[in-house]
Amino acid sequence: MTPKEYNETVDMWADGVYRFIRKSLKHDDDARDIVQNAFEILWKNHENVQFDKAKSYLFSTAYHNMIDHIRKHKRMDYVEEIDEAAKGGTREVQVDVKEAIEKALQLLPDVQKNCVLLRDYEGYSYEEIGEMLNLNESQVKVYIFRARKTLKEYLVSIHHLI
Amino acid sequence: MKININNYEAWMIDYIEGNLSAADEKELSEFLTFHPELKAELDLFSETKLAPDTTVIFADKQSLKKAEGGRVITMFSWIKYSAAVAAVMMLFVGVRMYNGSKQQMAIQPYNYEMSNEDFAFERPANEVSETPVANDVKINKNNFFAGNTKPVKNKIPASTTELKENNNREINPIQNIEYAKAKSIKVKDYSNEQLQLNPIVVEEEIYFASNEDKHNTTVQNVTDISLNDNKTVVDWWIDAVAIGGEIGGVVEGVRDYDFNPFEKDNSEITKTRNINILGFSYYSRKK
Repeated sequence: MTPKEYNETVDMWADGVYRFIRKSLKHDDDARDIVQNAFEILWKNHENVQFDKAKSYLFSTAYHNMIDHIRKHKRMDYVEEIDEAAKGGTREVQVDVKEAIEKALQLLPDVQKNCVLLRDYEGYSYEEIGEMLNLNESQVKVYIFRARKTLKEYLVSIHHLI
Repeated sequence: MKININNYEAWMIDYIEGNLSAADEKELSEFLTFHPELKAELDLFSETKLAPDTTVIFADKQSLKKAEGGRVITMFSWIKYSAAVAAVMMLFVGVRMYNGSKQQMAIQPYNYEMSNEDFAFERPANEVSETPVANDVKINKNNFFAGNTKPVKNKIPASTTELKENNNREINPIQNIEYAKAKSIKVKDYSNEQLQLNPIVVEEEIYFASNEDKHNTTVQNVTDISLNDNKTVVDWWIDAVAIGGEIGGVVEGVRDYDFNPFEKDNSEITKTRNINILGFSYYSRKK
């Protein structure tokens, strides 16, 4: 990949990878740092990364940076936020389905959440997601299945409250 | 399998995932005409399809961009470049070991490196000193990498036959790899005994455990990583990220090897067949 292609990668995928990490991590500044770091790694290796593989290299690198980040911070910063999301969902009546889904998303196990985000936000195939998250194709499918089932159950419970 | 009242959810999810054939879609549609009460569920499943918030953008993309200057990267300069990157990484590893509290975290350079000055990347004496090395190591203090103006490539043997170990295995010059699978690593414990370790996953992190009765041994030095091609032995890896084949655990650098997984008796342990290694530089030998 040439420097010019690297810069095109920035234009094309910086927003997408930032949205994915931000949504998964629920922390703006940390998401920004992780994306910046992923681009630094991509730049460091740009001569060895094919342009057509740059997107998945970028997402994969950012994902692994995020895992590392979460492990280092032991989720301390995030637990509270997620708890609140959980409480909010059951205490208040969520009329806005989109908002309800956003909250339910944060209740999913990380691996399910990341599979669904990559699938819906970026339209990746099961195989591509598997490569990025180090899962096999059928595991990805199962995780997405479970995630959608949980999200749906959540919506059912919301509807019962209304 | 035909759609029925017990499996319709999977069909609905496959439908919104776009996995159904035209015939399957027709079958689902017919099923719903017999079970109109389930149509609402299909609508709810459709709601689980997320849409990105396109108003969220990465501000200041310009800060991520790099100069597009016209430097031509030749094969020759690439080799120099990769060697330089590797040397810098090794300095980094040295600093990291210095910051660490445990001496045994250090990677020990190999005998072939120590016995041949041309092959070694010299490092500043104050960094070398934290690395437990054999007594016979020779460091040219006036010519360490940071102040060295000679091309770095000269530090790599000109031919692979120039350097041989006792067992006559060929030593390849430093190489870069973006992705590899490793099936095991070899390490040395405190008694300098060579152990073959297999990767296991503990609470989403990968550790390496011996098959032998050596579970209480703390790993002192990573020495070999066998890649799955059965041809390559990686002697020394630099700044690698490894991911377990079974779950998304991450091993960063080498520090996690300094760990006894069996002290964590409350952990769920998963055996993993493979570790996948991303982005590292290595010396290797052919078996």
